[in-house]
Amino acid sequence: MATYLFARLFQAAVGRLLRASVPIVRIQTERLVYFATWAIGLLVAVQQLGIVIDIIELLVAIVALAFLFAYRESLENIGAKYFSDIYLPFKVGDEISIKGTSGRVIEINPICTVLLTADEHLASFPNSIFLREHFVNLSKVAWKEVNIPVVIQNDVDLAEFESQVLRACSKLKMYWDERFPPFFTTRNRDAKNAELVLTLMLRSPDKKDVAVAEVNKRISDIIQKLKSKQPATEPS
Amino acid sequence: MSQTPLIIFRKRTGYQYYKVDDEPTDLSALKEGIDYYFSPGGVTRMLFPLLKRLLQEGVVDAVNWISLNPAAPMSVVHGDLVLNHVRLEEAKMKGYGSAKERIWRAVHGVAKEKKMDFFWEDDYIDYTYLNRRFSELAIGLDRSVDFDLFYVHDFQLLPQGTMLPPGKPKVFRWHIPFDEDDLPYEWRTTFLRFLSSYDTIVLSSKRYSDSLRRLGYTGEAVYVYPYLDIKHYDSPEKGTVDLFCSLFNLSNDDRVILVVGRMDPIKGQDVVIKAFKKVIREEPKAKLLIVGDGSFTSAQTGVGLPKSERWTQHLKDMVKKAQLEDRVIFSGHIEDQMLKAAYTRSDVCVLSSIKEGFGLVVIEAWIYGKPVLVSSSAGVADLIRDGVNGILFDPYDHEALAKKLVLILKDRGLADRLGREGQATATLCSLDEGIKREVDILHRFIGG
Repeated sequence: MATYLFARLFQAAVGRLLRASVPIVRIQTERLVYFATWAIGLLVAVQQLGIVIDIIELLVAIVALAFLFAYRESLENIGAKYFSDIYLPFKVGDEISIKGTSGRVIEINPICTVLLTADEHLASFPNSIFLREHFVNLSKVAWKEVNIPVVIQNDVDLAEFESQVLRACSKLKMYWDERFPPFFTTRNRDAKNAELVLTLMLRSPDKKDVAVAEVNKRISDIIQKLKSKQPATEPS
Repeated sequence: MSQTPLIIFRKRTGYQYYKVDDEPTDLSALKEGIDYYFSPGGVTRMLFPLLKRLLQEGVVDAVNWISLNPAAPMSVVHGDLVLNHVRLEEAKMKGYGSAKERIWRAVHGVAKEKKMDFFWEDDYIDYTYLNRRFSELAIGLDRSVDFDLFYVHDFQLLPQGTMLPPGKPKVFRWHIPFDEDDLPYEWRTTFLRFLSSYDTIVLSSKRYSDSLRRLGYTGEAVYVYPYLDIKHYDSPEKGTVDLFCSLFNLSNDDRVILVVGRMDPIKGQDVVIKAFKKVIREEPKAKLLIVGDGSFTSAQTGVGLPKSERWTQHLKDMVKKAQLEDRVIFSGHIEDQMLKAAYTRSDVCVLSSIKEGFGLVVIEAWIYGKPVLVSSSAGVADLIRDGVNGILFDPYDHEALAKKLVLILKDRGLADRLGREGQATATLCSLDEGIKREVDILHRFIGG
């Protein structure tokens, strides 16, 4: 019971702290804190039952270290992919140039990004390289496009969420290029979650941070507000 | 998926079959004409026979049809066809209705939109809301049914391509006219984005698919002429035709000009009335029969916009002013057998639309061997060989229309020849032809 309460408390605290962050980062961090709190709570509970857990703790630590060491490069690439969704300014379809190779991005998977070059060759780059090397997005007006990934759980009415976010974006119209109204694209939809991307086009590049932070805040507020209402009926 | 439902229910919430929303209503337990009627309009007239035939021939195992239907049960079963209905709160229904009218008017080139303001307004957000409701219902059904393909119909549901998740093929059928010059220039990027989210776009005629390419669309697009189940259009019994003539005061020597279409300014019934004023001087026995009512958009059990009522009144005022009340007949919506009688009794049929996606009424008239005068702006004009199987006219030129009407009414030989050639052309729009084309499209995406 105590573990449950602490887990919820820490989750809510993290949520508040990361209110202005990209929603997907906030949600994933909340989950991580929640499960980490539970893991610690369970270890403490087991210890209180008198079971010696030193050996278990040692084994878990050794396995974790071995895993991290063996898969460090893959984890680096997976981590970079995670950040590239949010912080790196390119997406599938864009033309980019990196380390002397230019091409159209045709795939971004957890390990690498694949470009199709002008002479129809495939060039593959590990995702971690985008965090270390300079690259250029050659697509026209690439600087304008802001893509904000959002994950909505089924306890939030998706249609209502979308409506309210679009209205909120309309109220922030001074930041956006009005020739390109905001829209959501569905990346994935399963029984528990909807993975969406909100696309907006900036009016001016120097307002990007302010505009994106404002949208993120409003998205978080809308999610909280809708969660506190009646749960949405799962599509039948 | 389509905005217009297959069936419109006559009774609102409170009737006994609405008590249990979770359980599907069996249509066979209800009475056509009393509890419900089939929606008027080309989309349902085309889709329902297609789906029935695809089910009968085993091309598909089951069909789920999702549509907007505020007064209907959530789910209705009709054999292997399951109708699923989306309802919308009244406030959002108004916003949605207003938005889709603006899109319709802009695409038809009858209203100029100011830049992109529309896409930031509440009405457009309500339009998006309705579309999200559709996609959520589709996704939910997909979990239990496991669809092979989503087939989305018409501009009202254009955003579905971006809302349905990737992984299943999405085909979009564009039913209304498509002319890149009519679409507001500033809207092109948004429209292209929506259209590009589908795996294939199907249009109603070659002129529209050419226009789509000129707009900059680079994806897959095909044209399939709309189709009808020709077997459904049998000859009515003499008694039915006599009853029809008696109801609408048509005598044997009257020369009947027939116009069939919903009551909407875009259908150009006013142009026919202006032309008729001149026709009556040359053909005193001529009568103008205008058949049609509102669409699902104007129905009180539908979207509820009063456009058709206003337009009907305007036409009646025109007729009254011209003192033609004894020569111009407004029948309103008429039942299937009466419509067949109307075609049988008519001497010539006119499609006067200023813009028309296709014009299935021309095919219907051809099935009955009637000569047709067709607006050059209609999609079906693709099939007209001027002077051979029909006669084309400029929908804004009532003088030219009058001359051509008089020509056909005076020359029975010409009328017969046009009707015979038209009957042969009508086979291009038969259900058999349509099914072949539709199955080709389906097979591109699903095996078996």
